[in-house]
This record gives sequence, structure tokens and C-alpha cells, in this order.
Amino acid sequence: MSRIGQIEFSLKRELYAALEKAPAQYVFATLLVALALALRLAIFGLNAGYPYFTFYPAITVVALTTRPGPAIYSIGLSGLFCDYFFLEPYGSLRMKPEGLISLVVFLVASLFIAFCVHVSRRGQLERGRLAAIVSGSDLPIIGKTLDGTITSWNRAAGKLLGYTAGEAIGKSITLIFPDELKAEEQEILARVGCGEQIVQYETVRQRKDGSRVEVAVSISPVYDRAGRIAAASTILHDLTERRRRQNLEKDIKEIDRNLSLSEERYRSLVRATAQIVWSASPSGEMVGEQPDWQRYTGQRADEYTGLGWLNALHEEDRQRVSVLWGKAVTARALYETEYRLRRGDGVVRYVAARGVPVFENDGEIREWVGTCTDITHQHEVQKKLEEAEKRFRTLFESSPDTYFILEPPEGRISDCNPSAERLLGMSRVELLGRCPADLSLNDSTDRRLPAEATSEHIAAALRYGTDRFERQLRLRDGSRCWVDVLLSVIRLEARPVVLASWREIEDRKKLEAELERTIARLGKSNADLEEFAYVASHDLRAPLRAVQNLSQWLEDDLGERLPESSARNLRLLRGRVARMEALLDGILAYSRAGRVDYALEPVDLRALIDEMGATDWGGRRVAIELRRSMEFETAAVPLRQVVQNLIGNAVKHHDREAVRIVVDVAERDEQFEFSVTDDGPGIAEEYREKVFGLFRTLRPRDEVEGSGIGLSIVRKLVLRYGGRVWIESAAPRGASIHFTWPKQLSRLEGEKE
Amino acid sequence: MKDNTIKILLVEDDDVDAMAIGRGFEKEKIANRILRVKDGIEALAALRAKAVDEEALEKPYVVFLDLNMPRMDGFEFLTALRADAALQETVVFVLTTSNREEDRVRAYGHNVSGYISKGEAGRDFINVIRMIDHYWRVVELP
Repeated sequence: MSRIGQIEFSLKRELYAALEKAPAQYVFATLLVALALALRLAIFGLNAGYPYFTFYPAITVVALTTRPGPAIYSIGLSGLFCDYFFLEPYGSLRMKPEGLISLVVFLVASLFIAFCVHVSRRGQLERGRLAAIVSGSDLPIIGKTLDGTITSWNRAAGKLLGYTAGEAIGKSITLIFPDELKAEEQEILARVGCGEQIVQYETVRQRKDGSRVEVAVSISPVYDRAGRIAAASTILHDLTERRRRQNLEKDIKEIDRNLSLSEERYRSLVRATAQIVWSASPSGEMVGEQPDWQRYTGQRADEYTGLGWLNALHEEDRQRVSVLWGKAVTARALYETEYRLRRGDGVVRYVAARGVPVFENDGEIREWVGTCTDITHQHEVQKKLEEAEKRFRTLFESSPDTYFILEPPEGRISDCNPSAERLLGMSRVELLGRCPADLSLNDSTDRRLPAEATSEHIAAALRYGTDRFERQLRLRDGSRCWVDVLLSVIRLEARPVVLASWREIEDRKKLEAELERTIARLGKSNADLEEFAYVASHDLRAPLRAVQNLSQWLEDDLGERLPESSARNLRLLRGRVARMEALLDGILAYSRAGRVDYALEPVDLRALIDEMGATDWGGRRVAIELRRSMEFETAAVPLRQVVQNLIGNAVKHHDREAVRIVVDVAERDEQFEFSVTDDGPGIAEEYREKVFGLFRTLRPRDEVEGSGIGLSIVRKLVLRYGGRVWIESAAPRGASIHFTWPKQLSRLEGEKE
Repeated sequence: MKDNTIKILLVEDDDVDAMAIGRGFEKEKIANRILRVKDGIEALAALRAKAVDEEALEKPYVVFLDLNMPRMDGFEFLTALRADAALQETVVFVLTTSNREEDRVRAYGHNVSGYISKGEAGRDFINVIRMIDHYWRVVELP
């Protein structure tokens, strides 16, 4: 579109505007036709041959300036005027055939002219409008020929690319191409040449100042009248803005995504620790959906809305929580409390509730958000702990034993009970921070200083969990007191401390000392008795022997001169002396029995029985049967003596010539049970204990000569080795004496006195 | 004139016991001289000073020793005897009423030539006397 075209267009604009209205156009057409008629009449008169020439210009002008309607109207009106005024017969609309032909020719010619004028004019109008659109467009539009020469350049193009129309038109389009893209143009032109339309092709163009601009290019082919592609028009879209918007949108999307991700994370985190996440309006009322609360408490939306949620709380907690919540809302500050919450299934749980206000930018509260965490378990544990603590404290305070809590390593007192105050005569305040060592005497059996000993005991307790020892205290009044100390390690506030339990053992210590003295006295007394028994038996024996000798000598010296009665008396005298000696031997044997420690050696019962069976029993027939034997290692000498004594006893007190004795042995848990059973007269029930007494016999010594010491020695020996002895009746007659003897005789037992 | 028969120093506090030995010797017709003292002190004095009888303790001699005696008992006497260089080789028979194992062991610890329990006085004692008689007929004394 040329600049001339633009000017033309602007000149005609007003006229066109006036002729826009249809009635005006008809009036205009009528006036022009009338003018043409008047000119004809004025110049040629009524009969002047061919009449149509003057009407052609009028019709042409009408066709040029109006729409097709008024143009056709002007042709019709012109035909009517010609027929009426200039075709014979004049003055009427009738005509001759030659006239009709000329009129038809005229009408056809006029219509043709009007059509041509109209078409041409419309094309012009179209072009003008197009040019206006192009030049006024905000979009940069560039026209160019197919060989790339710029033919049009609108203002927007100049704004975008920096070249004015004058600078650009006539130049090659490559003017605005960056160097590396100049080849692109050939391809574009080729494609457009083939009739292709390029839409929104995104590329880069170069400004006059050399800077680059991102653009989307749309190129359309431009056809000439003949329908051939004559040129191309290029529309550029500046992408800078769009890019910026795109980037912005991308950023916003990213932020959105991150935000939702982070919110999701946060929510998950809260859910992981809290059972309920809730929200409330700035005024503190629960509103909207509260899915967690609903799920947990089973309250419906209409039940919890507002302050209805308080009804899910334990009734004793409602008032308190309501007040607290109100205060938090008013103060716009952290809300934090614990309460009992009735769960949907009716179970009451302890929960910890926390809530915080969420502020808008302007400082107003947007909403409250918060959590409820089930702390029933912690609550129960806490309660148990408190109870345990109370129990412990009660025990600690009321125990008659003395307790201290000592802090490792040196053992400073960090707590003590009233009993400690009583024992030491010091108040708790005085005792705290001191060491037990300050209160102790130097231990005479222990060279260490009390402080050193205390540290060592505490270290031992820490290593082995407990330690026990005795210690003598010096009390405030100067008196001394023995205590039994038990240290045990306990954990207080997650660190090990030592619980020291003191038990006063002054009485026990006195008893122990007393016992020791008694044992010593007893030992001495035993030794004295032993000595006495020995000396007595020895010293008593000497005069006896003298009596024996002297009586013997009397008998020897007097010989036949001694009367028979005197001789019998002398024999009786010597018999009594012999019995006296036997008694003295008994005393000696009894006092010595079990006094000596015998070596452990295997005992052979079989050999012993055989030996005893072969003994001369004063002509009596003695059969000894060993029913079962047992070979084991023990103090063989005393065991042999016991068996020997029992067999000897059985024979001695037997009332018949033929004696039958059965020795048996059976295993009992830790001991062997021996029995020596005879078929003698037996021992009556009432004497079964008595016969073990010293010098006890059941028959006069004149009948059965016996010291009465055998069973006493048996009992002494059996008891000495940890057994016991008793008498049972034998069937059909006789006595069965049983005794037990340990299977294992430790050296310690063997050595003890 | 040198008397080569064996003499006996009887250390015995009990008169009847001493008589028993005298009677025993007499009964067995043993003519060895017997010098009797009543305790260890007297015995040591007799051996060292020969104060009692100049001839009594010419060697050879043996000592019959009781254990239980006043003032110095048999063991104390043995200790003193063995500690005395001049007397330590003396032949000693212990003649006692004690049956105690300890006494027997202790006596042999002092190198006695025999430990004889008086036991039941009387018949058994005669056997003891005979044994002693045989002993010194066979044994050469220092």
C-alpha cells in the first residue's frame, strides 16, 4: 500500500461518511440523474438523436459513490427519462422497436459500467481499510516481495526493531536477521512461494542497535489480482513479554508445588506424632470439616461445631479447658493443656492439646491450628512412677533401718532417713554433704583410713552391684556403735547412686563377743575336763594298784594260814579293784573318743566283721552276718570303733549261748544308715534313751561285768561325725541299733573340734 | 674290787610300786642291787654326785623311771639327763601306769630303751622283771 493510497483514503473519508446512509444515497442518485437530464435538455433539446451519453457519467458517479441499490435505481431512472423524453413518441413511455433496442443496449451498458465501477471501488475500499489496519496495528507487520525486499513497514515494526519505515522499505528483509540466521530467509521465502502459510514460527531477530529479540513469526503469501503469489506479509510477535509471563507462571507453579509438598510434609509430620490436627476460627470456635476430630471422638460436624467439641472432654476437665482456651484466644497466645478425651468407642484417653494462632500479614488472626496427642501411656507410666516414688519414700522414711543415699565416688550423703538422724543424733541438714567416713572409727583390723575404705567399698558396690561390711561408728556423744552396712547400687534420675543401709548390730556384736568368750571358756573347760579325766584315771589307778598288790601280797605271804573266808574277801576286794580300773578306763576312753582327728581312709566292713566273728567271746557261739557292705572313704577308726562297740555290746548283754548278729547298711540321701541287730533280750522302750548315758547299765555289774560306757562312746562318736543313733525293736526278739554316718566327710568336718 | 654286776637306779615315788619291784626281784631271785630315789631331782643328784652311796652307781647300771612324780617328773628328768654330756648315754626304762600314746611317743623321743606299762600289777609284772633280767644278761651296756 503506497503513501498516496493513504492520502487518497483520508480525503475521501468524509464524503464516504456522508453517503453511508441509504436514503441520502437515493436522493443523491436522483439528483445526479436529474442533473444529467437537465444538461441534455439544455444542450441538445428534446430531439437530438442518441440521448444516452449524458447519463453515463451520472450513473458512473452514483456507482462510484453509493451501494449497488442506488446505482441500479439511477440506471432505471435514466432509462425512464430517456424513454419519456428522447424516444419516439416523445412525452410518453411508449417507443418504437428501434428505440427499445437502443434502450436495452443502454441499460445493459449502464449496468456493466456500474458493475465495473462498483467492483473497482470496493477493491479500493478494501485496500484502504487493510492499510489502515496494518498501519494502526500494535503488531509489527512487514510486507515484502518474494525476493525479500521490504515493501511495507508499520509503526509497531519500527518500535520493535528500531528502523523507521523510510530506513527499512526497499532494503532486504535480511536487515533484521541475525548473521547466523540469514539462510533462514531463503527457506521461508521458498515455502511461502509455494503458498504455504507459516504460523508462529519462533525465532530470533536483530534490532538496529544489534540487540536481539525473541519473536514468533507468521508469514502469509499475498496474492495479486490474477491469483498469483506476488508478495509475503510477515507478522512478528514479540515473545519477550510472553517469555516473561511464561517464566513467571512456571515459577508460580513451582512455588505452588513446593508449597503443597511442604504442607503435605508438615501435615504428615504432625500426623506422625499427633492423633488429631484441628483448626478453629479466630474467635476460637471449631468450624468446617474437622476430619481428625470427628474420627477420634466420633462427634458429628453439628456436635463439635462452635464450642461443642468441649462435650467430648471428660466432664471434670471441661470447665478448666474452656477457661484456658478462652484465655489463649483472648491473649492470642499459645494454648497448651492436657485433658481426658472420650474416644468414639467410649474409652477415655489422656491427650495433650496444643494450639497456635496463624496470623495474616496485617497482624489479624486468620485461624487457630492445633494438635491433640494421645499421652495415655506416658500418663500411666508417670502415675506409676509417682506411686513407686511415694512407696519408696514411705519405706525410706519409716524404715527402722538407717538409709543413706551416697554419691559416688567419695560417697557424700545426698539423702538420709529419720532413722539415720536418730542413730547418729544429727539432723538431716547436718548430715547432707558429709561422708560416712567422717562418722567412722579407724578399723583396727583394717589399716586403711575410713575415707579410703569407704571409697573402695563404693567402688566395689558399683562394680558388683552390692557390697557388705561392718563398721564401727563414733557417735556424737562419744559412744561407739557397730553397724552392718549393706551397699547396693540404685539408679536415681538416670545415674547410679549407692543406697547404704545401716543396721545397728551393737547387740549382735555383744552377743558375738559373748559367744566367743563362751566358746573359749568351753574349750578351756573341755580341755580341763580332759586333763581331769586323764589325771584322775591315772592318779586313781596308782592307789588301786597298791591295794591290788598289797592284797595279793597278803594272800601270797599268808598262804595256807589264811582262813577261807578271808581269802574270799580278798578276792572280792580285788574284783572290785578290777571293776574300778575298768570304770577308770571307761572314763578315759570316753573322754578321748572323737578327740583325735582321723585320716580319711577306705573302710572295709567285711574285714572288721570277719575279725570280730573270729574273736573268742568266752566260749559263746557268736554268728555275725554282714547283709550288705559298703566301701567308702571316711574316718575309718571311729567308725570301726562304733561297730565294734555295738557288736560287743550285743554279745555282752545277750541272754543265750548262741548269739546271732546282723549288720546291715543302707544308703540314705547324704548318709549311710547302719544297723546292728541282735536276737537278745531287747531293750524296753523306756530305756532306749537311757542306755546311751554314761555308766548306764541295765543289769547289776555283778551279773554282767560292764563299764556302761560302750553306748555312750558310740553316741559321742556318731554325733561327732554328724550322724544320729537310735534303737528299734527287732523281730521276733532283740534290739536293733541304728546309726547314720555321712557319705562325704569333708576335711573341715573332720578337723572341727 | 670292781663290781661288774648291773646296778639299778629305781626312780619311783610310790612306795608300794617300789616294793612291788623289790618283791618281784626277790621272787625271781635276782640279786642286782637296787638304789631307789623318789623323784628326778634325787635321781640326777645320785647320778652326778654319787652322794648317796659311793659304790652304788659304778657302771654298768640302768635307770627304771616312773613318769608321774612330784618335783621333777620323768620327762623333765629325761630332758636333763640327755642334756648332760656325762650322763646322756644312760640306759633308761620307763616303767609307768600311763597308757597314753602321747607319753609313749614322747618317752621314746628321749631315747629310752623301753616303755613298760605297769598295767595290772601282779602276775604280768613278774614277766616284766624276767624280761629285764634276760635283757641285761645279753646286752652289753656302756
